[in-house]
Amino acid sequence: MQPIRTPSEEQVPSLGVIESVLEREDDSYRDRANGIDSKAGMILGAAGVIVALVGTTTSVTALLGQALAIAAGAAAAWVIVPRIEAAVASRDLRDRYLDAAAVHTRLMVLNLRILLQTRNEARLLTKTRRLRSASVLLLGSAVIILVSGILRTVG
Amino acid sequence: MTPDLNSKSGTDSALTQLTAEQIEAMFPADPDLFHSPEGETREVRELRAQARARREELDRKYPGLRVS
Repeated sequence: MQPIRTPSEEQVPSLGVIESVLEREDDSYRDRANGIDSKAGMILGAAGVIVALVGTTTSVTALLGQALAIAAGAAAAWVIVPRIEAAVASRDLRDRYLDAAAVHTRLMVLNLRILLQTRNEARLLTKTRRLRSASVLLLGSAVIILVSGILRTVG
Repeated sequence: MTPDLNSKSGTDSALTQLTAEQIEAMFPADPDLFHSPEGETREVRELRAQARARREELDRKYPGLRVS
């Protein structure tokens, strides 16, 4: 069988457009992941403050609020775990593809980055879900502590 | 059926007849090009395994289509 010829640049006119969209998406994933990590850090800090402020108490509701704050802190720490760090190894790319046709390399890198982005998208979704859980737990904790304080004042 | 990409007449139209998957089969992601600044992480290993599996799947589906 005759080897298949690499297409010319004219045969893939939109390649540049697709590459620039991927580039933007890539930056967006990293920014969003950093944003989520920052919010998780804030939740972690707030949970720590709640636990410290409530301190040792005999009130069941305050203890419940504290437990929820600890759970929120743990969930926030869990948000940071799925990292978006993998990238294309530029040195290996140079070593392996420097003598290949430009279109061949660009199409291969395109497929490589699509694979990376699919994974990053899934990881971002996981991070978002975990952040939502951490936020709900922290809110629950704050509400319970507030109710506990009101009950103590009234009673 | 895979279009004849080597035919001199109408190569442009032959390429446009390819599906996205067939183009991926021609130039699949190179599994050895994944990298992490933190070294050989689990994420990198999983990505490599995923790329290898995808490459094998495409090779099985479209034998002889990969451009070497």
